[in-house]
Amino acid sequence: MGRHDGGGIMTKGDHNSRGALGAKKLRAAERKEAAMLLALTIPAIIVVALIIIIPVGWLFSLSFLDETGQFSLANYQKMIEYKSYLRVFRTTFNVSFLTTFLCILIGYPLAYFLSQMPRKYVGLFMLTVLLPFWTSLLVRTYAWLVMLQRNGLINNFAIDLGIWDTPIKLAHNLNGTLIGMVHIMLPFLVLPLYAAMQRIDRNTLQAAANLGATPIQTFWQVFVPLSLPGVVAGSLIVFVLCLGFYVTPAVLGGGKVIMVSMQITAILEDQFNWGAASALGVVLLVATFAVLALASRFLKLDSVMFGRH
Amino acid sequence: MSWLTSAASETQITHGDRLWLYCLAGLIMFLLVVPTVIVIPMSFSDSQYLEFPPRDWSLRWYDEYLETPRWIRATITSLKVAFLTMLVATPFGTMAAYGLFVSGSRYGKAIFFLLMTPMIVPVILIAIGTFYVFGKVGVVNSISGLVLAHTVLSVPIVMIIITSALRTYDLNQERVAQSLGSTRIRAFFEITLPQLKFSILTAALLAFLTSFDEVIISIFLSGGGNSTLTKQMFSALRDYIDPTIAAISTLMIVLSTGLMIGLQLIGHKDSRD
Amino acid sequence: MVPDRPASLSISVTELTKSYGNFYALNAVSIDVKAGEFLTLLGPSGSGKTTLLMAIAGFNRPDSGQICFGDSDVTLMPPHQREVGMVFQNYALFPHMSVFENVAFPLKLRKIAKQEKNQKVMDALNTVQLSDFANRRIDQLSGGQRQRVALARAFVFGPTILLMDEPLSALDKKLREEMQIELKQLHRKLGVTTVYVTHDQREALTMSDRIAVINDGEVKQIGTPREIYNRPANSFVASFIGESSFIPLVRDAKGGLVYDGVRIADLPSGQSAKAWSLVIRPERLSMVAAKAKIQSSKLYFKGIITELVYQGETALMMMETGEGETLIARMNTRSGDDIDSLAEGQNITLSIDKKDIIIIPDGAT
Repeated sequence: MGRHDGGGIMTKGDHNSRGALGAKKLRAAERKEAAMLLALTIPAIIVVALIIIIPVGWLFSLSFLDETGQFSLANYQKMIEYKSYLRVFRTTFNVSFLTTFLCILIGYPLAYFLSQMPRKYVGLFMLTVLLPFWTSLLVRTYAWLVMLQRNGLINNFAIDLGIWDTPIKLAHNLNGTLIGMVHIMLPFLVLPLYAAMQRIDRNTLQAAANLGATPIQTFWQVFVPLSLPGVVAGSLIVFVLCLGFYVTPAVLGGGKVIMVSMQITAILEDQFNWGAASALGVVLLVATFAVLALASRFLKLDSVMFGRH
Repeated sequence: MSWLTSAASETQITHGDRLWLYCLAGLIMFLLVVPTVIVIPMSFSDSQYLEFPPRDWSLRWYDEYLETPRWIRATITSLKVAFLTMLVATPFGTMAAYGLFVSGSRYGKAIFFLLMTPMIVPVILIAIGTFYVFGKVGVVNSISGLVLAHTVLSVPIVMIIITSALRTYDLNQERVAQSLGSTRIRAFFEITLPQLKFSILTAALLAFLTSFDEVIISIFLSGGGNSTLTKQMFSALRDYIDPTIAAISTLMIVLSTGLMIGLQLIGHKDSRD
Repeated sequence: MVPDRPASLSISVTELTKSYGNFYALNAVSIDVKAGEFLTLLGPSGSGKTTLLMAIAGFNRPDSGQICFGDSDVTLMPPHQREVGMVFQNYALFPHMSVFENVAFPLKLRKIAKQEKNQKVMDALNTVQLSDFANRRIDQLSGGQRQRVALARAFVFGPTILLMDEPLSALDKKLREEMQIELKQLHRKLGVTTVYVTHDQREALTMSDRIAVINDGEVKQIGTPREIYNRPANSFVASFIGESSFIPLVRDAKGGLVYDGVRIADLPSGQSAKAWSLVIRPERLSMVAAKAKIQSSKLYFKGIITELVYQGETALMMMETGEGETLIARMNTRSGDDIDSLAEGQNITLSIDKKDIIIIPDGAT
């Protein structure tokens, strides 16, 4: 008869003394097990350290060096002084705000519709949100480029139907960028918002109706307030993603819409000025963290994460 | 027409009252899907200027794709990198998610946030940061460097999926196994892992697609003979609208949609049994 | 109190039918609730009692039938116009509003002036003993407190009908029993017609003026608690309320019902049922001493004790008769009968007064 003690942590002797000695061994064993479990995270931690911590840390230090390699704040000074930098910041924030705002405007009715659908059909309709979500960013951006061109789909359609006469410039400008970005960001708003709407207790809405609220009153006085955390969560994700976005504005902006990420790339491609580029990067990082920190005061961030899946 | 007067919810608001919402939602869903799939029919257009609907149908852009070594090499590179990323990120992420979830240690929260940073830090920074560091170490334009970077992007996604799977999983099963004589490790592999099969598959697939579709880091870290498909496509887009990209896009849509729908079908079959 | 509006309305439900596909949740149900009475809809899960309550509240449209409040037909009226107060099983309080705001909500919708509104809200909170909690957030309240807020919100606007869907089911036993009494007192104070849904027969017996026993979408019996308990009309009601022993009866040639050769009763007229049962409430059985005289007013059962369980103030005894029937008897442990001397396997004789026996048509539900 073998002994199944899972590792022989305790021997008979430990049980004899019912005092502190036995308890200490128990706690040590418990700590050892917790430590071994945490050790499972080490491979992931190592890669994250190698790819995130070290490089970003390095960038941080680079931003404080000027061309000669000496410590200086010149890179940051340039940001406040050069008008081109200020324009880039303004553009980035404008595009991010506009995209987020449009996503809320378009995404809220869609999320509401999905939340009202019976279970049988939700999956089918959800597919229309998930399909773009699963499709490569590049492919979707390309599709918009083709559709928004002068002689592209939208212009041709509109002219054929008589909506307008001459082709409107929809690509290679702010409009095209916004259209593309809203299309790409919409699932990021709709999915967490839908999850939040699902969590609203139906009984609460029935109670409001029972107490005398018309369907419209119930919607505005009970449903909308209860859905706001979902709106905030979704908007946050969208806004933060927009801040650092590169591909879509680069392709659809036609060089007129310059966001921070594009500026960073341009500096590296043209001047190879690591100091300036990393300083901009640090500003972007700080802005991102500031937005998240601000939001975490009003929201529990883990519900943002797990709400989506 | 009786459907219009029937109730849409317990508050007795009718479908007719909500018709405007249904139309609006329908329009939005249409606008979501159409731009995504419009490239597919256009890729069969014979003309240099992709037409919709195509006047003449042909497979010339697919031929162009298959006959250009540049594209094929890039495709193989992307597939290799994505596959390797999936192989590395899935176990790393699963182990980390399991370890954090089960240990319940007070350091757990800190480690969790640390491992979520790849989702918070703007990708452009990860791209230029690794570009710089890899440059110093001499690992730029290498597949392993790219796999490493993509793995870091995928690990948080894997962790989120596995963690939420663990939440609905009854961990007592492992404890029961232990009480019956199994070691902890064996309990994990024989009891828990098989039940997490579907979630692990989902996580692996998402890791694969994350890497395959990734653009920014690939632009910086892959180059020359080791360029990824996305990098080639991006360069092509910046310079001119190469119609071959329509064909490539179609193939990419088929790949990701096919994989995800296949996954859903497997999941459906699983839950049905 | 608004002088020109009646304090409470009667409810009449006529031939109400509601089906979901092939499943009939309500099957031509008819019930009349008198103005001011406390009527309980009692039944197991899936019996249709909640469906009926929801139909009265307006949250589902019946397939056919009629619902009237007083003289008005409200069958097609949307829920927000029905002016009924409702307490949901999970309370359904508005989490983004305070206690005060929750209770004030119906008054705000009716555009009641601020002064009067505040007064009414505080009055309602006083009635449910929560006046100190007016500014609390909902998630700071215990289950019992939330229940009382839900109650206050339901009657603050002076509805003529009150509906409650198992409001006490989430509370623990002691709190439940306290709340049952409080609800009864509240009903007496407000005098509002109340329809109450529960699956707990003890709760129904405690609180109701009348009980409607429901199963499979039909009303099995409606009556006062005493009537329901002492005169169940069919086997479902007899077995759902209280514990009972069922003994099949035989018809004799002379139009009577017979057990063990003894004529129990005449066949009730106007009944077409083929089989009949004797229903015996366990507390009506008494032990018979060995030498006791046989009385014609009693019915006797001889058998062996198969189970004896001491349960505090009563003891449960199961006995098997010579014919193989099982009788359940409940003995008071402080009575003169010497319970302690009994043991399983012993022979025993039990008796019951003939006027305590219940006869029901078996199979007629």
